[in-house]
Amino acid sequence: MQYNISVTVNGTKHHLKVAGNTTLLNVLRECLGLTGTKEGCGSGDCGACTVILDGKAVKSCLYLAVDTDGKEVLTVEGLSRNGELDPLQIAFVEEGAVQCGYCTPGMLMSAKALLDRADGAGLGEEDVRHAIVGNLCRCTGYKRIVKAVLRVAQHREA
Amino acid sequence: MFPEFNYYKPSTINEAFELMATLSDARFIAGGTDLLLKLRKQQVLVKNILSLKDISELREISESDQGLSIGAMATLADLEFHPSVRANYAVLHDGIVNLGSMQIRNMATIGGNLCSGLPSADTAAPLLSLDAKLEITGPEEDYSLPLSDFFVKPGKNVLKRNEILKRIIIPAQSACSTGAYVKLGRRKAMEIAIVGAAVSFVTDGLTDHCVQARVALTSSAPVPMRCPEAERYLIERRLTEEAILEAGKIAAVEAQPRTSFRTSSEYRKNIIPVVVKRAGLMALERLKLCKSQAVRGWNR
Repeated sequence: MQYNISVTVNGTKHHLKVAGNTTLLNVLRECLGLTGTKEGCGSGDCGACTVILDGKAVKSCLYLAVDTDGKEVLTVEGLSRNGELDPLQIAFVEEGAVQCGYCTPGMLMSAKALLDRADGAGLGEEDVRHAIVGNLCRCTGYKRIVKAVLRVAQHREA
Repeated sequence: MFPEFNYYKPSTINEAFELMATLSDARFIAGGTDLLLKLRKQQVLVKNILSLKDISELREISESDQGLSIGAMATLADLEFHPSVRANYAVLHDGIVNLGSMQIRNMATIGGNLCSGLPSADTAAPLLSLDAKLEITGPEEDYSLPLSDFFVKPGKNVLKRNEILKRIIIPAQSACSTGAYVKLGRRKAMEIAIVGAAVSFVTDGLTDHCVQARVALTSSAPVPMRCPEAERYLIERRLTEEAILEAGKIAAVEAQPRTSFRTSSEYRKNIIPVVVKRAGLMALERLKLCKSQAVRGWNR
């Protein structure tokens, strides 16, 4: 069976026909060509597939496309505006929070979801670590990632 | 990629029943973090999936003088950020924040966690320690039963194929009763418990003598379990570290852990008292804080 869905991705509404067993990750990468979201494990463990769905971070490899009908998705491609990087992306670059880059899109989306939910309220290191606990990084040891997120959080608070 | 299946999204419980009656080889799905993984690994094969996500009455959370009513489709994140859960049902909050990760909790539901029937379900021990009851609905009848009667064996609960877990009801807790859940794992998150312990106390208000205790374990038996002997030991005793540890040792005797690839049954038997002690001491600290706030006239 095929299902009609209407999903907004990075501000653009898409009308798509998807199979019941198609994941959101499949739709983003294969149908829409948004390959920033990665498949690291396909089993909801690594977090490389993290996107923001209706304001909440989810693992797109375990989210069925058919359930995104009427919803809004933000991927890493949607972070930059008019060619300018989001403050989170700038912080990741400047703090050295990117090595191989494979976890980075997922990390950015988990961090963005945290910052948007906190809405400037004082965030500490534990809050950031709690938010990214579902995102595995084999390269950085997480310290610079946490530093980058805290930098943006403190700037927002100010 | 998952095997092919047909996907249905009923918007009411009755619609779900009607669909289930017409479809052979069909299952209900909640958040999907468990079932979809099983489908991917082909541990389960099913032709028709009926999603409960669009049935809004299954997601309602409400609090009254009688206690907390949680719709089975409430996500774990709904509960994590619910002010009453954190303030008044701390042991449940502990179980929730120890489960998976933020992304998983945004997708997974409390009903799905219980219906998985896994002995490691992190909301199970806290809910057992809170004397939770379940409301179940089926085409023929609605009924309720204590959570302790819900689990049959690993991965199996009492629900018939066409029944739906509707609500989890937590009775109102005594003033200044509190609990805590501690999960031991190889990792801090995204982990199945080696052992989890939920410990709750009610004291007599003036001293640290226990008038009611609950000790519940995950990953310590074929199903999440209460430890009635450990609980009985604590009644009328002064709650000290030694008493709580002794209760943990009794709980370890009651437990029937298995050897899995995570660890051996011997290790689990040995570590249960430690995890019970940690949870008990955390509960005791919360109780002290609660009492000091009550003395100062702070309302809960």
